[in-house]
This record gives sequence, C-alpha cells and structure tokens, in this order.
Amino acid sequence: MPETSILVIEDDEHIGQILTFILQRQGYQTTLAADGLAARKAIVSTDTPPSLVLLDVMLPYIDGFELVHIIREREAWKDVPIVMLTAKHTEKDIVRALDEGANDYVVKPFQPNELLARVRRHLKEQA
Amino acid sequence: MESILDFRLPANIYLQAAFWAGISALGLTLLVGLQIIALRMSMRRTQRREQALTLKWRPLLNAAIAGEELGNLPELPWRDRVLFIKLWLHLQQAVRGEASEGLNAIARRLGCDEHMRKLLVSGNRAERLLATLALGHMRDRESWPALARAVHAADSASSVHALWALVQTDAARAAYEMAPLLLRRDDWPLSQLGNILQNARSEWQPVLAEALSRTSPEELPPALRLVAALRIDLPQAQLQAYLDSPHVDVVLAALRLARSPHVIGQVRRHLESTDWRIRLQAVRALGELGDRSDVARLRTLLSDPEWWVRYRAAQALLALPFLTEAELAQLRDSSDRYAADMLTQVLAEKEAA
Repeated sequence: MPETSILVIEDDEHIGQILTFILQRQGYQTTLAADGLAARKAIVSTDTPPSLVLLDVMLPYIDGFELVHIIREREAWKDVPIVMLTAKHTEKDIVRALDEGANDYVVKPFQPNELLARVRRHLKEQA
Repeated sequence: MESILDFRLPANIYLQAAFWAGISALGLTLLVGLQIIALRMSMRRTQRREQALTLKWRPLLNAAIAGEELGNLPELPWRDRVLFIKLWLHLQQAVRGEASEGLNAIARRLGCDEHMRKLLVSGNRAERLLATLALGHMRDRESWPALARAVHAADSASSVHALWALVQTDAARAAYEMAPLLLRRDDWPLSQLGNILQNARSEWQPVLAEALSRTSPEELPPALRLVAALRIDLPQAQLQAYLDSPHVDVVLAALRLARSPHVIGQVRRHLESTDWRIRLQAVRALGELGDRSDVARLRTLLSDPEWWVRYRAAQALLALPFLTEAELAQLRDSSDRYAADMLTQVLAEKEAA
C-alpha cells in the first residue's frame, strides 16, 4: 500500500514543524511548503497529487484562497481533500474557503487531536 | 625632510579649534563604528543561541504538544530562559487544549513559572509583558495578586494583557473583581477585549450586568456602548429599563443592545422619536428583529427628513430575510422618488460588496 502523503502549506516555521511532527508521528509522509510560491510550484510540478492538502490561509505571495483555486483547476488534483488552517475565524473567511472548494477548516489555535481526526476523516472518505 | 613627529599645532586659535573639532568627530565616528560592530556581534551571538536553543528544545516541545511522556529534560541555562519562553509562547499561541497543557507541564518542570513570577514583579516593561503572557498561558494562580495590580496600571498594553491572563486563569473570579474596572477603562482596545471575553461570556455576563446597575448616570452610556460592542446580552428587565430611560444617550446605547424579540415593542415606539439619532438606532435594531408587520414602518421611514435614517431604513428593508425580490421591486415602484433612489443606492452597494 503506498504511503499516505500530505502536503502541508504553512509559512510559520514553528507551526509548520508542529504539523509535520504530529502528522509524521501518525505515519503520514509530509512535504512542507513555506510560502505561496513554493506551494504553487509543488502543485503545478506534478500530476501525482498528495492524499490531502493542509493549507494555511495567510501566506506570502499567494494566499490560501488562491491556492485552493489553483488546486481545483488541475484535473489530477480536483478531488484532493483540502483542509484549511487559519487564524481568521470569521464567518466570511470560512465561507470563502468552502466556496473556493476547500473540504474543511481548522481554526488556529488548533487542537492537534481535532486536526488529526479531521485529516483521518477526509482520508477515509477519499479511500 | 619633515616627519609626523615634527607636526605642530597651528598658532591661530580658530585653526586649533577646527583641528580639535575634527579630531573629536573622528573619535566619535570610530566609537559609533565600534558600537555598531559590538551590537552586530551581540545580535549574531543571540541569533546563534536562539538557533541552538530551537534545535535542542523544539523536538521536545513538539513531543509535549503531541502528548508524549517526556523523561529527563536537558538543563536550561539561566541566561536562555527568556529565549526559551519566547519560543514556548510562539507555540502556545498556535495550539490549545491538551497540547497547551503539555507545554505548561514542560515549562513548570524547568522552573519557568517561578522565573516568570520574578520577572513580572521586577523585570523591565518588555520582560513584564512576556511574563504576563507566559503566566496567563500557565494559568498561574500564585501570580494572581501581581497580575491584578498590573490590570490597574496606566499602561494600556500591559494592563489589558494582565486582564487576559486573569481571565485565562479564572474567568469567574476575574469577572467578579475586574468588571467595574472594565466598564471604566476606555483605553482598552475593543477588539482585544472581544477576544479576551470570547470564551468567558457566561462568567462575565451577569457580573457586568450587576456592575452596570451600580454605574453612575454619567458613566452609563459609554459602559452600555462597551457591553454592546462586546455583544454581551443584558437581562430583559434591565434592558427594558434602559430603553425607557429619559436620557437620550442611555436610550441610544441601549438600542445597540436590542437583539431580543422581547423588546421589539419598545424599539418600534422609538421609531417615532423626535430625535433622529434614536430613530436611526431603532431602525438599525428593527433590521435585525423585525417581522412582516415592520415593512410598512420601515417604508414610512424611507421618507424621513434625515438622510441617515432613510439610508438605514433602506438597509434594514434589504436585510429582512423574508422580503422577496418582487416585493422589493414593488416597494421601489410605489415609493416616492427619494425613497426609491435610496433603495436603489443601497441595493447597488449590496451587490458591489
């Protein structure tokens, strides 16, 4: 069985490390993109998408909403579950993220166990 | 041949002054240059210490966040404590729940709670602020008296963070002790207060209502505006009493709190006020509370002599969820020209948003 891979897009180095740590601890393979440009490069450079994308909203160069749009435009990536991770917990941002095509959202500060439960659920639905 | 040893100061007093001024400027330039080099070296040393500390402690802090049991911890040198707490705070701000508790446990094992208590009392402003944030995350009851004193400080940033720390530690006790002060402090940023009370509304609501009842008539309007901005509801009887107040400022502030259908009668009565500011607030409230019977009332106010009241009436009508597009078009066609123009303008604004 191929390893479950997760693309983590997070510009805060420390938060990126927390996410990588807790996901790898569950046996997931992770790739970390630290800004919008690196994330776009990771998305457009391959037709083999990860099993799930964990995506911060506020990113340098290209924001999370635009990245969701880029992901959904690509045929091979259009069914990849996207979980948005955002400090902006206003209803407007959540609605916008879901409208753009995200599957779910987690509000920062987050509970690692809640985040992992959501990741598991989306991976299970996709399988 | 002349050598540098043969140099003599010029005899002219002005030339001598210019010479020594030049020497002094050169000396000062050298001193500033040395200071810059020293600062750069100190900054590089701190950066290296920070990098080494992050490499050493981040895996352990991540493990604590993930809920792993940690065995023996490495020693944390005294001089690295503040750097450690800065890293720890950064992680604290990213997580909550059990993960936050895991971070607290590791900080206490390292004696950071004791160190932060000392900084809170005897540190400089930056250190006191750092200690306040750290002790708030730790929910440290021992530092309650020092934090309570800090809430009364004139410094807005320090005092509002101290309030946050108290609410984190014991929301009910903080409400009981700090509600009257909160109603008086107009220098605390509303958005920050909103965040602080976000998860403590049930503890603060009754205490703030009680504190309001003891507030002087002069202080009541700003206090009510604050409670409205924090979206804290008041008991029905208390709100009704404010809505019936003879003081215009109290009624204006109370109308901002009118979010319950129980006060809709009073809100409707205020639509007929002679003070346009009261009509304006009543229209705004009716936009949130109104039913079908209010369409006719709001339509009448589309022809109000005051532009802002007409504008708010149009906004309120368009916000009514039960009004269909056909009904709206009929309303526009059957209204006078000013009312129709206002409806068209607000509709255009809504579409452009």
